[in-house]
Amino acid sequence: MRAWPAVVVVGALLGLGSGARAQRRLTLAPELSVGAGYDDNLFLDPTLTSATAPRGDAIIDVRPSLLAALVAHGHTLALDADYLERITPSNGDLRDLVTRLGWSSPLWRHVRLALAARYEHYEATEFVDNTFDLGGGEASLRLELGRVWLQAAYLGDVRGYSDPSRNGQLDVDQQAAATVGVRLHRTLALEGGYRFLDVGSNEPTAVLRRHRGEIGLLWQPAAWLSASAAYALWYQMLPNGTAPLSPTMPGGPRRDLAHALSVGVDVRVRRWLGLFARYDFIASTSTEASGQYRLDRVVAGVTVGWSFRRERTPPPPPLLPSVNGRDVTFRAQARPGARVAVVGDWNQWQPEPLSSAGGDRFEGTFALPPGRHAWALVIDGAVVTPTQAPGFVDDGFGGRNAIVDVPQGASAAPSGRSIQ
Amino acid sequence: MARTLCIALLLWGGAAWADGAAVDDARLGASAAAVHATLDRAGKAGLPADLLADKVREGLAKGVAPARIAAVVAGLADALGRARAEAQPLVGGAPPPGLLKAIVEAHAAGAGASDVATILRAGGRERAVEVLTDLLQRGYPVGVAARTVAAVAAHKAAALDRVVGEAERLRAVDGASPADALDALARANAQGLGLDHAEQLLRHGGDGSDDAHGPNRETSGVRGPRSGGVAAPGKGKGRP
Repeated sequence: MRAWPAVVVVGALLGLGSGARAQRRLTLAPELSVGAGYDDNLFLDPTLTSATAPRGDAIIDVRPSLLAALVAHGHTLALDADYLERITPSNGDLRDLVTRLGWSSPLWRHVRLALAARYEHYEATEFVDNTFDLGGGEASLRLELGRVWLQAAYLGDVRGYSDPSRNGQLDVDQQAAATVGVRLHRTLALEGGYRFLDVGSNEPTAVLRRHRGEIGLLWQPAAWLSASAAYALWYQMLPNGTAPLSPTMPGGPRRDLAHALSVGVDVRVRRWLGLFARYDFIASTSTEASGQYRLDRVVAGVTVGWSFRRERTPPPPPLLPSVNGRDVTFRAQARPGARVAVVGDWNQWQPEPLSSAGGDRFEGTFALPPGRHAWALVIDGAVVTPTQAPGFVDDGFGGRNAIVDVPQGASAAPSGRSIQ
Repeated sequence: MARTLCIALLLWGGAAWADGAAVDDARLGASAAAVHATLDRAGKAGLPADLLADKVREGLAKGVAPARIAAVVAGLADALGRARAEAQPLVGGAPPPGLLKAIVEAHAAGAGASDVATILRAGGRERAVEVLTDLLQRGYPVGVAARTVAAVAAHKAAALDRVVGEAERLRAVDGASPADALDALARANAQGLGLDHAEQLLRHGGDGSDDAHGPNRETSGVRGPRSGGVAAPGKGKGRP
């Protein structure tokens, strides 16, 4: 039973890779985001600073990222790599690399299953004991019903600290999350959720349980403009307390109540160029001084990126008519030597013969007036509906006509009405 | 002026001859009178008799029984009359024959009068109604299809020819349901994103991953709150 996720992933990859005629899309989207701003509480941690005198500093964020995605038959395999270098003038640098390999697939009509594995490396140059590596996975089920969507997710991570002062600290995070969203308007989406986090650790003071509720609003009135606002409220318990910070901050069991607000705006000036601004606010109250803090951070900057997309389209069915300007080439398959013709509303349903294209294939090219035309084949005197056409329409006589569209404004063939 | 008049007379005469040739075909037998009567009535009512004559020719080419041809042509004349009554108040004048034919085919494919009206009110004409018919015949839900076609016709009529292809692509590649595919196209059209980028709007909200990077605040610090699944500015979402 434990092996079923692996079986599903392998099956999906095989499904994506197989089928030379499958329609699929490969997207590669590199992006570089550079922002500057100010953070009045850089590390948000009394063990690194003093709760009464947090470290504030100017920040410069340099953030390259890469998204690679392969999509076919509704299955998506995506690799996302995101690196942040947060440079500060006097508090060192913060570096964070996150990579995520995810797969999602339709399970049943409106339900999608998503699985992902992720790896993260984090370090702050002035506080090397905070360096950690994290590996984790997540699974989610998503139900989409028109404008409403529901999602349930489970996330599990293992985080290891490499600095000797941490004595091999290993944290295990488990999260269960439920999200509900609704699109209020074509340009406006509202999403809310609940998340429970349990942190277990071989370091007792890192043990934590958190209940968090959040709500977010995204407004995208145009392709070039989007604005978002999110509010979160969480309550957390540290049953074993925190390590003593100082004689005045002895530590001990702790309960925190915190809330956060994040607002931002994105303006896409060009397809490859965007501007963004974001403000984050966090305030935490606690039964202990070590849990009381506040943060204000504002960052604005520019994003440069492009999306390279390659789509593989299967070749058209061999008997499908092709349209080139006003010239339409009709194709048919019949016994060698058969009398094959095309009839339609442009020729008053009078047969126009197709020529032999070798063996059992026949074809003929005709200049048609712009517009939609109903047509059929005539094989050895009998009118038959073609098997391959861009579309079909009820003929009113209990059968169907094939349809072909000649674009408005298409130029006429120079050689006259009929081209054989 | 005289030259224009001559050409018009020739065209009218040619059409009349062609229509006559269709209904005078000996294969119609005893049903010829009924067909004649239908065409006469349609002509007097200002309906496009050439569409009816064309249906006669089609029936004859397919070897359909004359009585059946007469019944189908009479039914088509009625349908064209209803289509004209529907369209005339919305298009500001006599609807062109192509539009009437398109409306009749749309109704045959399952579109209601209100669906066609949605498109006509948005400024959509013959091509837009044809696209609606095409979508319905491919199994797209009628209400969403009509709204999507109307939105594209109102915003960028030149993109109408791509609606069916892009919707089919979203279904084939992204596994979208017919309704979701059309919905994504309508939103992409409304936002000026371009129909070929509609897949960016196919999924609602976040993808379930946690936007917040870095450790938990309790173990070493935090890099800010999650944004509730809504894309945070400058964080790489909504790429071109």
